[in-house]
Amino acid sequence: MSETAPAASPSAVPLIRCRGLERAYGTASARTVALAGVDLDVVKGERIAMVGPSGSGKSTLLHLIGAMDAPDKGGVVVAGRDLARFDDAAAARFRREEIGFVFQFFNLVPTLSSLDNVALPARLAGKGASEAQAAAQKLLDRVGLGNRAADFPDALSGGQQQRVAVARALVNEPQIVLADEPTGALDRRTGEEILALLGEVVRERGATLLMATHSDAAVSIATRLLSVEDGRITEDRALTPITAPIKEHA
Amino acid sequence: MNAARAILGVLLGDLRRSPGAALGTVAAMAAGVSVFVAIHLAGSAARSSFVSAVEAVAGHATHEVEAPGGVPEERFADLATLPGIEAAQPLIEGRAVLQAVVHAGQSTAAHAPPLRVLGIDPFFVGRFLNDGGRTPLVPGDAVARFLTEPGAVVLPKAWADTAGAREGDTLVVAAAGRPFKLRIMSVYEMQALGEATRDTAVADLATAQELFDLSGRLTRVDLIVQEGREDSVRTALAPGERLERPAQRGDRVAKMIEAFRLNLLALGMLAMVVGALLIYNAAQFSVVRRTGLLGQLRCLGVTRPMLLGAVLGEIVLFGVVGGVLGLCAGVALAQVLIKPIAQTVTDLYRFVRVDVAPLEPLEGVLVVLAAAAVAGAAGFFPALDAARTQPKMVGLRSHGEAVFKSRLPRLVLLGVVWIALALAASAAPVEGRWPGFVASFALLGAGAALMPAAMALLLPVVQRQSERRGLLALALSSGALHRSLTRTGGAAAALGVALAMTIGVIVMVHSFEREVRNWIQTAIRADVFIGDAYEYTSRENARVPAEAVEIARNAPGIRAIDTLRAVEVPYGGRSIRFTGVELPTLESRARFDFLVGRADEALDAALKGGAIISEPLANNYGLKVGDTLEVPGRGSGGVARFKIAGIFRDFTYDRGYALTGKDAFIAAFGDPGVTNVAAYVEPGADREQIAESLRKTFEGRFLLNVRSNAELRAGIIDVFEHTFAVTYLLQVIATVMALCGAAITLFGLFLERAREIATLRALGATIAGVGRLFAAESLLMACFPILLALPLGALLAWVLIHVVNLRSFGWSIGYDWPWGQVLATCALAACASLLATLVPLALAKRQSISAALREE
Repeated sequence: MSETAPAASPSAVPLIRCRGLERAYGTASARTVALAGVDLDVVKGERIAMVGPSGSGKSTLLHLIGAMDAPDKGGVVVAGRDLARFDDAAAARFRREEIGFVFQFFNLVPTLSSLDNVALPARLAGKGASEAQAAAQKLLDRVGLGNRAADFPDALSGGQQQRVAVARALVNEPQIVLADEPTGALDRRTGEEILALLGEVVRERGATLLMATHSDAAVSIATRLLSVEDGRITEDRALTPITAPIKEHA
Repeated sequence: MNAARAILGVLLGDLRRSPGAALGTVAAMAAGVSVFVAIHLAGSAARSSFVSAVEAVAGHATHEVEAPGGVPEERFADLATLPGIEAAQPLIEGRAVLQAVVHAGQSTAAHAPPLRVLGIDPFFVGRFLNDGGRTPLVPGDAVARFLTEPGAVVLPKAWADTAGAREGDTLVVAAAGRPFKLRIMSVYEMQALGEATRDTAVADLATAQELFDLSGRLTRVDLIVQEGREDSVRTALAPGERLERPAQRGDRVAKMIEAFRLNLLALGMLAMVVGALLIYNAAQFSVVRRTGLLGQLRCLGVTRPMLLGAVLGEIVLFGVVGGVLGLCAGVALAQVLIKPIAQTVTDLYRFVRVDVAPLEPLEGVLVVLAAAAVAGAAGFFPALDAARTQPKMVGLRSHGEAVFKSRLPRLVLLGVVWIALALAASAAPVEGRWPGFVASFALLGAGAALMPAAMALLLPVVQRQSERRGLLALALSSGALHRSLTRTGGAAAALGVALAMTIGVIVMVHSFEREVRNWIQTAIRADVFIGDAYEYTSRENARVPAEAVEIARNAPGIRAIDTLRAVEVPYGGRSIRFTGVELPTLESRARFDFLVGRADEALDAALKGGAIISEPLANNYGLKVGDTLEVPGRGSGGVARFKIAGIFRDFTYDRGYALTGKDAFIAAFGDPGVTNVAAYVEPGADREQIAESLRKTFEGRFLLNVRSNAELRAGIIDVFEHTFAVTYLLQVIATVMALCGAAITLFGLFLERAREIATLRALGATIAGVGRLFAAESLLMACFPILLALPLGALLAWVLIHVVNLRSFGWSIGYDWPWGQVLATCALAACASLLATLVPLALAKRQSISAALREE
């Protein structure tokens, strides 16, 4: 089921290339090193599970790849574009067009319906309301919540909210989906369902997935496993994912 | 007790983590208290300046005898020797304005506060002084010089220091319309007369009579009357003389500015109301924000009463802190307000020189207690909500919002009750100005109660419609405001109330100004006006010297002059103004806009011994045409009687104003001298040139103010604008307070939503997009108050014009809506609200998305 060599083929052009990434937080007297020199290449279509203890640097790595943060040293190049050259508008456009985010606590806008939450990134990308809502409805149907489109987040369970979040992450058909502990706020069974769904929809769209997780079940949808400790990648190996059929979701 | 302290400790500890709510409460309380304290101090200072001067000069006098136009000098001996009189002193009192100080033959222009000059007889004054005459006003070795040297005065040291004058110097002062020289005989502390007389100089009677052009007359005679002998003294009075206690004069003088002070206090209370709304808002939000913490405390066994006590204690504590800070700020603000207030009182009533007295310790304690009580009252219901928190509601802020929304029907009901109260008060057949104030505050209460309900109803509609139309920022912002109604509702209500009051006052002042401008066209007909150069400063003894009157009468280009003589007479426990005129020309007769009565008949009747009265006099005292106006004068029984022949529109005196012919006036009050001259020029003559020529003629001989028709009209508008300067200032303060409240609320909302904003940015929103979201939110936060303020302000203006103004001052004013000013005010509020987003936007721009998301 697993191999010890890195999954990326040396000949493939990496979609994401990280070199010498360093990032620390806090003041000089109370400095927390989040990343201490990370090199990483990710090929299109890979589904990577990053595991490691809390504070090991997983989320920081996702944020740097998603242009939500800037490294102290090193650089990230995504699809041939150096993120360091982005200004605020370019970074925002990059996040809209190339990246889909799934957060641990869903981060749905509480005053928008499920449909409008999913449509939100499309609207931010300049699509008209009806076009964005049509795309959002298809995705809600896909994640099994087509009949809850008009419901607001506070009327949905945690699992349902995370499905809406997954649909939202995909509405602009991004090349890359970044998921930060997507099952961290869910019970085990729901978490497994979300992971299965996430793996399925990402694979369907040929997108690349990077996921920070504590869940053992994550390996079931991943093609590559990264272990991160103290801001460094300590293990990088290829996986053979289990491609079980997606269960019907309530 | 220990438990309550422990809970309070937990709550305060939580506030240390997010101090914004505490700061908001304290700031709101401090702002409200400061405005109230400032107005109280400044208003009280103006009042006490009136009253204390009267009382201090009166000293030990039990009674005083006055007469319109003065008491004839020869009457003093008669009064002093009446049975039952222990002591008597003749007195002259007036104000002189310093022009220059002559020292060693060198004249230097100088400025000092107007000098009150008391003309006394040193042989009689001792018994009346506060120390019984132990400290003589005039040193024994100087009495002879004091009596014989022309223009000799004894000066208070403080005033002399201000003027830069020393013993032996000569003062050139203006009094009764001309320059006059006073020689400083001695300078010393005037302890015998007390602090209130720090601007009071003492001169011999003859000097004072000459100074104020009161030859053969006394301002009054002070008496010490034996107990129970008052009636016998009264029966011995000559026609026109009246006997009263000094306190009565003090009261009458104080009543002059009663309505003015009350209006100021009402504005101060408005600031307190806005402050209380902001406190309620802050307290409500504080409870909702901490629902989780409160639920945890309940889980740990804290009882409802304990929680109620702790939360209420916390709010009251903030009230105390805010009260103390407000007290300090209020004393400072009073120093700012006192100048325009003193200016207005001087313009409208009589000269006051006012310094803000330090707040009495007891007053300070009372203010802080009142602040704590207001905070407690404003925070009671939020505290009750806190006490009712169920343990199972741990972490559920939405529960608090839901509870608040469930209360909205009750708030609507409360709003309806307020409206009913406002209607009832407006229509109440109760005299006085209180119904107007009750109606105004009830309307504001209604607005404050209805605002959150209106937002709860309309924000979802805005959200749905903006979603349908693809207005993403508006949809998100309306949703955010609706979600935090506990906070946004109160802040919007405070802003709405302040804006409504501002609009109400703008409409009232505009309507008033339009009436005054129209009135000026009718009432200011003469071509040139002559008056004492210091008419406003020394109204009591303002004169146009007889010689100057004759010069004006015979000046080339002048066709006719009308002389005005005026006295203040007591009426209905207050003072009214009585004027005697000649009305020699058609124009002088055409200047009256009669509301009741036929112009020609009424004026003829007035010239023949009747009177016409101004609208405020008629309204304030319920006088009608055909009634007889009875005032102290030289008629039978010491009463002068005038049959009212007409009621005319007038905006010069809010206390009331009656006018009769010159002859009837002199018969009733004697001849106090001409106070003003209105001159009419020959057809085709240049009035500006004639005015200039008169100025040149008067220069050096008289100190008179010669104004052309246009200059006088401009001067009246100037005084009008001064009058409302304080009103506008207070309005600005209340509105700025409310805007700050709205800004703090928006700021808090933006800070709380840091994660939501970060999520939006993670999803691809640019900073500009976030800016649009903030802008939409702040504009919505301004729009709702504006939408409330427009109708509420219109209603308030109606109450101010038709209830408060009419009953306070007796003026009837037409309603005129100044769209330009009203819209500019609304636009200003919207802009200010928009500006409030700049700081949060800058913070959002600086904030790392990653950090904000990590804090989840």
